[in-house]
Order: sequence, then structure tokens, then C-alpha cells
Amino acid sequence: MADATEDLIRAPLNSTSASPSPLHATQNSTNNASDSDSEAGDSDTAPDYVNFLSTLNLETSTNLQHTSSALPKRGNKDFEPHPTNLQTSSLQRSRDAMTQALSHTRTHAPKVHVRGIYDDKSGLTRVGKVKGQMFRSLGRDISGGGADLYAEEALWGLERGALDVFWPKDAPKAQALDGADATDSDAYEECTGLPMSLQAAYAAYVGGPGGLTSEKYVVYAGLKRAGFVVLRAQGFHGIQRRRLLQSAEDQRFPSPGLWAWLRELIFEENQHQKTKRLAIGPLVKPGLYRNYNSIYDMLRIIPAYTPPSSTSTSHASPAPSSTRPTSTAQKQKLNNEEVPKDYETYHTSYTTTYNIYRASPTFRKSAPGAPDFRVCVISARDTSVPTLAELDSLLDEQPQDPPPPQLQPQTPSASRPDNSARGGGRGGRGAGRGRGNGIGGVYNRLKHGQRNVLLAVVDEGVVSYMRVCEAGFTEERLNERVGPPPARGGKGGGQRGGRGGRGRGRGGRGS
Amino acid sequence: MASIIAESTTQTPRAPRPQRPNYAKLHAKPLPLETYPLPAFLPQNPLSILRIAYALISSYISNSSSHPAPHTHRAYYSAATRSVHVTDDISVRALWESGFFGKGSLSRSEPEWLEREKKRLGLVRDKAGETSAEITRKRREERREGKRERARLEREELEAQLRKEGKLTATESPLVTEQEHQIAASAGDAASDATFDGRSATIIDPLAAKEAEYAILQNQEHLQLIPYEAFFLSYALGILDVYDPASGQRLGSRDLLKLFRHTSVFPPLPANRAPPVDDPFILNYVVYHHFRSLGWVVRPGVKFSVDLLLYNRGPVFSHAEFAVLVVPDYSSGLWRSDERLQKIATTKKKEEWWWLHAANRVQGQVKKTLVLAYVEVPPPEEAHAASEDIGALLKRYRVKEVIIRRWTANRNR
Repeated sequence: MADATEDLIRAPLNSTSASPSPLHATQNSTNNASDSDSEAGDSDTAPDYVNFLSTLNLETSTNLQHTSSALPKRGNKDFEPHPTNLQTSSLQRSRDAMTQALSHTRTHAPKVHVRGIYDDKSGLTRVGKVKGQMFRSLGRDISGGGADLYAEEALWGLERGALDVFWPKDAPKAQALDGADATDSDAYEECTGLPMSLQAAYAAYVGGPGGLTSEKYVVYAGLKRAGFVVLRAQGFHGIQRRRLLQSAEDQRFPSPGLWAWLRELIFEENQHQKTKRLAIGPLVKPGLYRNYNSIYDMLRIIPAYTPPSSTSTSHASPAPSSTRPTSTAQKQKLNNEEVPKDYETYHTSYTTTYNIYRASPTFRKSAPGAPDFRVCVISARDTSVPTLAELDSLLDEQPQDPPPPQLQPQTPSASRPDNSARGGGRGGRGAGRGRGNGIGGVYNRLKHGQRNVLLAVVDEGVVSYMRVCEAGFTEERLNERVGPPPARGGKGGGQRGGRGGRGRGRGGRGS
Repeated sequence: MASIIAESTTQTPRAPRPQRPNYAKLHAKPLPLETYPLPAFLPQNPLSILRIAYALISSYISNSSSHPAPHTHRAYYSAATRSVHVTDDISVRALWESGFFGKGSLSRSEPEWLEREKKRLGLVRDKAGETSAEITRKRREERREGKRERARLEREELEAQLRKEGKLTATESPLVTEQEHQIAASAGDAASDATFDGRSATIIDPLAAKEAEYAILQNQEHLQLIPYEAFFLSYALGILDVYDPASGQRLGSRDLLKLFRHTSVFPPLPANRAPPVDDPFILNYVVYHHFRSLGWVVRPGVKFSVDLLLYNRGPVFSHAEFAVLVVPDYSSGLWRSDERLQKIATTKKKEEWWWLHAANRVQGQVKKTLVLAYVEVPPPEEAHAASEDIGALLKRYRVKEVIIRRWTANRNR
């Protein structure tokens, strides 16, 4: 956006050249703080090999285990070539550094040298004896100190230089050992044949019997490199799903409820009048209205999806004591799925591919617990923007993840009455000043959503991650927020509070 | 965008802005309808019940209505621009101030051409309250100045380096010509901007012509309503009468819907053809109506590559937080009930991923959140059966909102 150029007065210009700008070397430290574009990660830029080399040298001179924890910093960019010796020399230095970094010989340290045998039937790789930290989150342990690796795990180990994969030399013997109690890992390792080259490994694993695609591997490797623990989820190979032939989806749209029906019966027009009003309008029939909420109520005719957590608006199930049901309720719902006759099955790739865990010292692969993120890997060339059905089926797999309590509006009394029909819609009562009150709370609740999932859209190796969530817009009725919000400071907008603005929007209550 | 501007305001001292109008008072009404709230009953003051009674009786006697009296706002449909024009000054102000409907035909959003023009001709003395167009022009000017300054600094730095390396003598400065060239070019831009905003370069001597000008200065501007805004005001709120300029007849809700649906595609459909179930008008209207009915101020979002923008209270109070893309959806069970419908559903255009990425990238730059508003489209027969009953028709379309945000691994570790 052209508007963003102003901070470039202080910050250097972006370019595709990877050489650090010698002219702007002094400004390097100051501009990081003013990086206002929180959305654009620094993952988009090319690496700076001069800095990378310095970490690499450090790595080889000391122990391989003691890699420097600091990531290489990127230099500033020169926008265009100019005839200075300074630029030429720094460009040359950068090129040399790149060559040097690429020509660096990688070796296996004997202590952590791990060997595995590729199984061309299952696509798995069996490691006779696991060594090193890597296996804390990798592979499935087998008895005798070995582990089975999935295709992406083996490829990742190979890429890192932490694993040597061998073709099976004596497959029957290896399988015999496989079938028997494979305690003798040394005998197992004798069955190994030729070592597998990296090229051969890619050819064998990607598209092989392990079900790995290049898209899935790119996402796996990217997330591993970023420091996450990545485990296969149920839907790694895609999933067979059922769907209803005829629409029984009306239940997703809650009917008005008993109270609304009673109110209509007593206070409002009869059905005939209402139909006529809806048929030709106006929806807000001429007359005298005491408040805007009643007008908005008449306007609300478009059926809209309400996220599943808000069962309180549905009259089919009575409202639970807390307006937000727990995730166990959702699990029960998924388990008790009934299959009527008029269902058809279809195969879809919109399903959870990987479970992602943040790196943690207490992580155990035998008991990983609930994942921090769940990602669905999608090929951008084979699919288009998902249909609602695809998205719904994907989100149906996800657990409930309602906005945390600090984002909920703080009501004056601690316990909310059971019959407050609309979940979190009543922000900003003016009483409390919690984070959830005010319009910032509404925004944050909407952005957090209910169920969510990550989509990793891979376009020929380039991954775009997107967080998709169900927004409860029907839960947050702005017209029911009482009174104007505080003009200043009331934004409370968490991640991006205080967005400045052009001034016109601020201080609306000035005079 | 916004934070950068904020940065500049805090860093460069600027003269205090003149006081702006009281927007909270000006835009107190969320819709162009009047309400008559009853006074509160105070238990400690039993006499307050008399006030309530008085309010009830007086509203009954005076026969006051929430809708504009004595008649509703008038507008006419312009086939050339495919928009609805409101020309009456009172109506223009009412529709803009309460609910932010429409756009001034000669302004960026708020119809303020007359005010701007008066100021330009020196007909109003007080400088209080700059129009948004003036603010924008000033901001652009500042930004242009900033860019010029940045370019100059870079050149100086480069020249200093060249001198140090002995490639440039101490006196020569070959890059200055380029700089001058740039200044001249941007000055030209500014001039063209000014004439565009002034909109009447023909007046040569404004001082001499001032008196005459004052007499003849008429509001040349009208309020343009997008068809879905006009239909909302007419069908939902019942405060706008749209007339056909050719026949001079008032268009009822059904006629209006038909007209808008037929002209929402290009070339416009002939009158005897039924519109498709998923014409742009009905899809946009469903989403527009949905968000309006939830209390959002909804404005068109074409300049942010989306269909709609959602404001809390209105654009004068805060930036839009959400940007809405309308996505028609044919994946509901209704479209799978027979093979013919399935075939139709598969022929519908599916949006590509890069379309979504492009739109999402723009939202990241302008600090908005992208909302995909899926509209479940009913099968043609079902929609056709309800074509006479607008309410029934609208109820066949269903909306589901999904929020999409970019996610980066590095920021979520």
C-alpha cells in the first residue's frame, strides 16, 4: 500500500537482492522496532549467507550439538545497483559466503550415527537403534530400542544428516527378523544393503507406499525447521466421509425458540400479517418505535449459521448452566454420529493432516496430549477455495476452542443468569472495564472464533498458512451494545490496540 | 497504514487540529428512523410514572411515527450508472448521517462538495472542520514531501560514498538533476490533484466573481446509493421511494428487486427472463442485510479488494475492522438431491487460491480481518417458487461467516 511508504523514510527499501546494504549498515538496529507490518513475517526474504556462514563456522569449530541458539540476522537490502566499490565488494563477499556455505561438508558424528532400513512394502523406515535427541519426538518405538519412521520423518532425518538410510539387502531375512522379536538389532543391521542417496530417498519416499506427497513433506519440514513437534493426524491420507443426500441441515440454523414463539403469540402481529410484511416490505412497518433494538429484531430475517457452541439459542436443547458448553459435549456429539440410509460417501483431502505441538521439555511422543495447532495440507494447484461443505467437514473434526475467559465480557454480577439468551453478545454494559468489554472485546472474540484449523496451502512448494475459524457474528449484536463506547482507550484491541488512525476517527466525543 | 500515520503524528509536531464536529451527536441514530424512548421509571420517585404516561399520551395524540414525515425520502434509479440517486438535501443528510448510506457523487464518501466549494471560493470564513477530502490532500502532500526527503538523503549518502572512493569530484553532483526532475513531476501531480478536487478550473478570478458566485452556487452533488443500499432502505426500512425517471412511477419492492437483479449482470437480462439464483445483487444483498441487521455499518469495500466493509458505528468513528468477501456456495444437500442439480453445481465457477491470497494480503496491509461470507444458494426451482414473496426468497439464502487470517510459524512458536 502506498500509505506504508512513510516509515520507509527511516527504514531501508526492500528489494530482492540478498546482499546487505553497506550504506544503510548503521540504521540496521533501529528499523526492526518500527516494523509495523505484523502480518508479513520475515520468512519471505532470502537468507543472508554472510551471517549464516558465521553461525556455520561456529558450529563446525565446536561441537555439533552446541549450535548457536541465535538465528542468523538478515542485513539490509540495496534497492538498485550503483557504481560504488562498497556495493561490489559486499556483493562479492556475500556470494563467496554462499558458495562456502554450500560447499561445507556435512558428516555424521559417530556418537549419533543412526542407521535405518527402508521397507519398500510399507514405506516405513526401521531404525535399529535410536540415538540422539531427535527421536524424542520422532518415530514409533519398537521393542529392542529401535523405531519405525514414517516417510516424512525419515526424509527429514536424512535431510538433516542425522540418519543414514539403507536399501534392504536381504529383505526376507530382514522381514523374518521383523516378524520375530527384533531384539537383536545388530543382526538386523547386518541385513542392510547399499546406502540410499538423497535423490533416491526423495524418489522412494515422496509418492511411495508411505502416502507422502511433496506438499505434505514441504509443510512437515517447514514446521519442523520452525521448531514444532509435528505428528501425523488421523486424516493424513485424506478421509472417507459421509454426507447426506438430502438436506437435513436445517438443524444447524436454530429455530426462534419457545420464548420468541410466545412473544409473537401475545405481543406481535399474527402470522398472516407477518408474511405480508415480509413479502412486499417494509420489514419495519411504519409506526412508532421506542428503541432501535426492536427495529433490528424485525430486520433479522436472513438465516445465519451459529457456531455450535451457542446451543443456548436453540430451543431443541435447553441452555446449559454455562452458556459455553465444554469440549466434552462436542466430543460426545461426534461420537454419537448416526448414519441414516440416505448418506453417500466421498473422499476428501479436507481433513487434519498433522497435529502440531509447540516445543516443550515435557513433550512425550507416547502421550502427546492435545495439539496446539491442527493443520490441513492442501495443494493449491489441485483444489480451489473450499466450499462450505468442505470447510464444515474439516471444522467438524476440530475440538471446541471458544475465546478465553479474559476475552468474555465482564458482567457486573459474577454469575450470569441462565436465561440470558445470547451468549457473549452483551459486551460493554458500561459497568466493568475488562478486556472483553468494549468493541475491542467484540473484535477479539470474533477473531478468535469457535472451532479453528490451520490450512497450509502449498503452491508448488510455497506454503501459505491460514487460520480458519468460525466467527460468531450472530452472537455479537452490535446494536445491543448499550451506549457509545468510550472514545479513547476503549478499543482495548489486544493484538493491535491503538491503531492510530488518521485522526478523524478518534475523539469522536470531543465537543 | 494507520500505525505509520500515527507514528508521523507523534514524531512531527503539528499545529493542533481545529475542532471537529461532534460526531457522536451528529451520528447518534444508527438508522434513519426516529425512536421515542419512554422515560425511565424511578421507584424512588413515583411521580416519574406521570412522565411515562405523558410520553405515551402525547405520542398517541400527536400520531408521531418513526418513519420520516410527512413523506419518505425520494430517489430515482439511474440506468446509466446503475445506482440510485438522492438529490434532496434533507434526504441526503438524513441518509448519510444516520447509518452512513451512500456516497456523495463528487466526494470520496460524505457528500461535502458544496462545503468544499464554498471554502475554495472563500465564501465561508471559519476554518473549523476540514472536510475529509482536504485532510486526505494534506496527508498526501506530507507523504510526497517525505518521499522526496528520503530520496534526497539516499542520494546524498550515495554521493558521499562515491566521493570517498574518488569516483566523484568534490563539486560535481550528477544526481541532482534527477532530483529536480522528480520534484517537478510530483509538483505536476499536486497541481492535477488540486484541479480535480476543485473541480472548476474555469473560474479565473474568484474574488471578482464572488458575489455572483454566491448567488448561483448550487449543490451540484447528489447521493449515490448502491442498489443493495437502496433496496435495504426501501424494502427493509421502508423509508425510501425509488422512482423510475422515464415513467415517473414509483417502483414497488418487487419491481425494484426485479430491476436490480436484472441489471446486476452485464448485459442486463431481458425483462421476460427470470434472473439466475446467484446473481450478484441477491448475493450481496443477503450478506449486506445480514450484517446490517446485526448492527454493523456496512459499506462497499472495493478499494480494499473485497465486497463489503464492516464498521462499528460508522466510518467517522473508527476504521473498518472486518472486510467481507461474498462467496456463493452450492455444496448444501439441496444441490445434491438429483443429478441435474449436481451437474449445475459443478459448472459454477470456483475461486482459485491465489484470488483469496491476494485479497487476504491486502487486508494484512490495511489491518483488517478477512471474513468469508458463504451464501448457501438455493436450487433454482426453490428460489423461483418464492420469487413473488421477497421475505420467503431471502430466507432461502443462508449465510455462514468464516474468518481467515494469515498464520506464520515464526510468530506462533
